[in-house]
Formats: sequence, structure tokens, C-alpha cells
Amino acid sequence: MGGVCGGLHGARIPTYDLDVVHSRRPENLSRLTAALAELQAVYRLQHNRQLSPPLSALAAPGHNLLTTICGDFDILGTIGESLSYEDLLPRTEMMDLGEGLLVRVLDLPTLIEVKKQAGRPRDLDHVRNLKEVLRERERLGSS
Amino acid sequence: MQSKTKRKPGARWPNVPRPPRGTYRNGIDLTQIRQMLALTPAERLEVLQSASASLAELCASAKKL
Repeated sequence: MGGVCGGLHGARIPTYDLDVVHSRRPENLSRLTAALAELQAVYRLQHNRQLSPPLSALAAPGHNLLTTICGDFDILGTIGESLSYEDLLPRTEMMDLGEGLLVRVLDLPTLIEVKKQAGRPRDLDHVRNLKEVLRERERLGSS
Repeated sequence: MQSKTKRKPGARWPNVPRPPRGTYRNGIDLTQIRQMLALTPAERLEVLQSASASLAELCASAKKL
């Protein structure tokens, strides 16, 4: 989800981080913890303290705003109106990023809805952009 | 803050092409969207990464000034 998701759908949205809503099932949390350790993830807003996200935080519905050796990485337990990974799953699609990498992203109408709910000026800016992408896609699909 | 470069009033910066007419809707550049939609998701990701890298480079350069 977020700017990268918008970009994958075809919008030119400047973004500097990757936003992910993760599955909070135990088996995924252990995989996620291992991946975050490899990325040397620590909380971005307390960078000086070098705090790694504990399992309890990743299992909770809150937001974990992290920085890693590969850039900023936001891991969100829920978004919008408390929507979890499982809630959002039916509103996603798979995208092929090459070299066998398939990623699951929010579908465009849902991304627009989530950005509207976030309601910050930059989110609403993105909504205008994303709506035009949707319109263009519909136009191309119908031509 | 005043710009150090003097320009005649109304003069355009060099090498900045005027955007083609009719490619904007609601203030959004449809040309860019159409270009992006012509790419695969993997290619779109490359465009995003390249744009982010350029902006980061620009910010780093600006901080040195």
C-alpha cells in the first residue's frame, strides 16, 4: 500500500518509504522478525536508541515506523478504519515484479479509499492522482 | 530569499519545455500516467526508484549549499 503501491498501479507519486500491512499470524511474525533483523530495522523516530521492533509490537494493530539499511519501512498492523491484513486480502491483487517476485498490493479503488480515510493534505493530493490513473485505466480498458 | 540568477521578467528558464496542451486533467499530468500505464509493474518500480534516487541526490546536494 502507500506511494509504492500507487506507483505500481501507474501513478507518479514521490515516495521515500515502503508501507506494508502485514499478516499478524504467528508463523508470519516469526518470518517478519527474521527479515527485519537482517534489514537491521529500528524505530525511525527513536533512531538514536536503536530500538528493534519487539514481537509484541508487530503482533499489535499499531504502526511500526522503521528505518532499515535499505530505507524507511513502515509496518502497519491495521490501516484506515482498523482494517487488518485479513480484511484487506479480498481487495488486493498480485503484481509480478520480475525474477519470480510476486507481490500483493491493494487494488486501486481500495488504495484510493484508504488514502481518502487518511485525509492528510498529501494523501488527498495522491487521491486526485490515483483517481486519474483509475480513469485512464478504465478508458484504456474500454477502448 | 532572492535568487542570485538574474532573469528578465517573464523569461522562461532554458531547457524547460512548455508542457503540451491538453494533457492535464484536474491539474494532473496525464502524459506521465499514460507513460506509466504503458510499462509493466516491474518497469514502473524502476521509474519510482530512479525518481526517488534523483530526489535524494538533489536534497543531499541542496544541503551542501
